[in-house]
Amino acid sequence: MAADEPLREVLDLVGASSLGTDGMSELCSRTPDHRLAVIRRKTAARNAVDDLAVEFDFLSPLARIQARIALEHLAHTLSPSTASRSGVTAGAEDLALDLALDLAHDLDRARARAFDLALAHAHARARALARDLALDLARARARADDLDLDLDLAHDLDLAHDRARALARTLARARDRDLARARDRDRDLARDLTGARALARTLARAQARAHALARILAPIQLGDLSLLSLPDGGVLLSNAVDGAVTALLEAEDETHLVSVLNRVRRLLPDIRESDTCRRLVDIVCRARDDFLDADLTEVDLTGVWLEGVQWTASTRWPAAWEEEIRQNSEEIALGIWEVRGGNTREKVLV
Amino acid sequence: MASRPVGAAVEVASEDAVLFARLAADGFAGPAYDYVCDRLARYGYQVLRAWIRSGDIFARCAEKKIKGLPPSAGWDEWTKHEIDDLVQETVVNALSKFRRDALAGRGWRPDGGANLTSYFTVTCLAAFSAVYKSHRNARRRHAESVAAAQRSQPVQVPDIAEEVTEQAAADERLSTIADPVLQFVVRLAAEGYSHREISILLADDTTARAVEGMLYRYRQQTRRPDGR
Repeated sequence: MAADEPLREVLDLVGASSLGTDGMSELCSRTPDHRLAVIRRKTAARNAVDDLAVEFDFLSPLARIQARIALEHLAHTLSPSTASRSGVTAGAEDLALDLALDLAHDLDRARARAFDLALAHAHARARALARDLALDLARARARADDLDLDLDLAHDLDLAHDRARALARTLARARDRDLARARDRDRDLARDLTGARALARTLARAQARAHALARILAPIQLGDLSLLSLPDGGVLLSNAVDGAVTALLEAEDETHLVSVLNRVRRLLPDIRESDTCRRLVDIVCRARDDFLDADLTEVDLTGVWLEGVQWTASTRWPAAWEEEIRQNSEEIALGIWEVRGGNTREKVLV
Repeated sequence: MASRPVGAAVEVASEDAVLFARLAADGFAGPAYDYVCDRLARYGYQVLRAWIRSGDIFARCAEKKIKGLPPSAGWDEWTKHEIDDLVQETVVNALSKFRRDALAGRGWRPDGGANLTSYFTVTCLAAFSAVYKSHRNARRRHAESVAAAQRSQPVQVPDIAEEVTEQAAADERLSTIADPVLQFVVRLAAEGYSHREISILLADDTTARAVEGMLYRYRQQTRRPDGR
C-alpha cells in the first residue's frame, strides 16, 4: 500500500544500518515494552521542552516583551514552589507521597520477612546436617562396639583394641570438625541469604502497593485531572499556557511556536513529574527576562510590565524611555542591569 | 527487516550515514525518527543493563574518560527494579542528548570513527554518570527515611528462599571464573542470550563464532572426568 511506503523505506534503511546487524532485532526485543513506553513518554516531554527553548531563542524581543505578563503567569504556575502546591497537584502529590511511604514500609517489612525466611532456611539445613552427623556417629559407635566385641573374644589383641578406640576418637574428632564446618557454612549461608538484595524485589505485597500507586497516578499521567475529583489546579496550568499562546500570537504571527507550546501543554503531566519541569520554568523565565543586547527601539513600552527585565549597554531602548530605565535599574552582574520597581513600575500596567 | 553480518564496518558507516541523513531531512522528528529512537532505546537499554549487571559499566565509562564516577561500585544493594529504573532514565537522557546534538549540528558524523550504535552507546555512558549519581543520592535519602519509619510485623509473602539459594549457587559458580569477559559471556549464555546477542553486548568486535568458541572451551574445562 502507498501509505506503507515511507515506513518500508525506513525499515530498509534501519536494516542496512548498524542498527540492523544480525541478532540486533532479537536483542532489542528483550527490552520490556512497558519500559519502552515510559522512555517514549519521557523523551517526548524532554524533546518538547528542548524545542520550546529553540523557539524562544528565535522569538523577537518585541513579542517577548509584550507577552511578559503571560510568561510570568506561566512560570509562576509551573514553579514547584507555588503551583505545585495548589489545587489538583497538591492533593494528588499528597496522596502519592502517602502511598510512596506505604510502599517504603512494605519494602522494609518485606526485607525483614526475607531475613526471617533466609534464617529459617539456614536453620533447617543446619538441623538436617546435624541429623545426618548424628546418624554417622551412631554408625561409627556401632562399628567401634563391634570391634570391642571382637576384642572380648580375642583377649590377646590389645593392640587392635587400642587402635579401634583411637579410630573411634578420630572419627568423633572428625565429626566434630565437620559439625563446626557445617555451622560455619550455615552461618555464611545465612549471611549471604540475608544480604541477598534480590529478596525484596519479587515480594507480592510491595508490588501490589506499587500497582496501587500507579493506578492512582495514572489519571495525572494521562492528563485527565477530572478523574481525581480535586480542585482545578490543572485547569490553571492549561489556562496559563493558553495565556502565553494568546499573548505571543498577538505580538507575532508565530504558528510554529504555538504548535510547540501546544505540544508542551499536551505533555505537561509528563513534564511536571520530572526535573524537566525545572528546565521548562528556566526557559520561560529566560524568555521573560533576557533582553541582553536586544533592539527594543521600535517597541511601545506604554503599559508594558518591565520589572525584572535584564539588559546590557548594547540593549537599545526607545529614546523617550532610555533615561528612566537607566535610573530604575541595578547592575546585577558585570555589565548586566535589571529593571527594579519604582517610577518605571508606576507608569506601567501590571 | 533484512539483517546483515556485523562485519564490513565501512559499509555500515555509509549505510548509517544514509539513515542519519533521512532523519535529518525530517528534522529528527516524525514516524521515521520515532522508529529509530525505539530501536536505539531498546538497544541502549540492553547494553546498559548488561554492563551494569556485569559490573563493567564503570570501566567502560573510564575508558571513555567520563568523569565523576567511582572506579567501581557494587550493585548488591540495588534491587532489579532500581537498576531497571536507572537504565530507563539513562536511556531517556541519552536519547534527548542525541537529538539535541543532532539538531545543533554537533551530533553523529559518518567520519567520526564510530557507527551510529557505537556512538549512541557512548552517549548512554555519558548520560549514565549524572543519572547514577542522582539515583545513588536518592537511594541514600530513601534508606534514611525507611530506617526512621516504624517497623511493622512481617506480612505473609511467597517463599523465596529457594530462589535466593539458586541465585547464590549460580553466583558462586560464576565467581570461580577468573576472566571477567568469560564470566560476562557465561552469565549471559545462562540467561538465554544467543551467541550473536552476546557478541553485540560485548561491543569489542568479538564475533558470535568467537563467543561460541569461548563457551565451548569453558564447557570442556568444566566437564567432569565422567564426561558429564
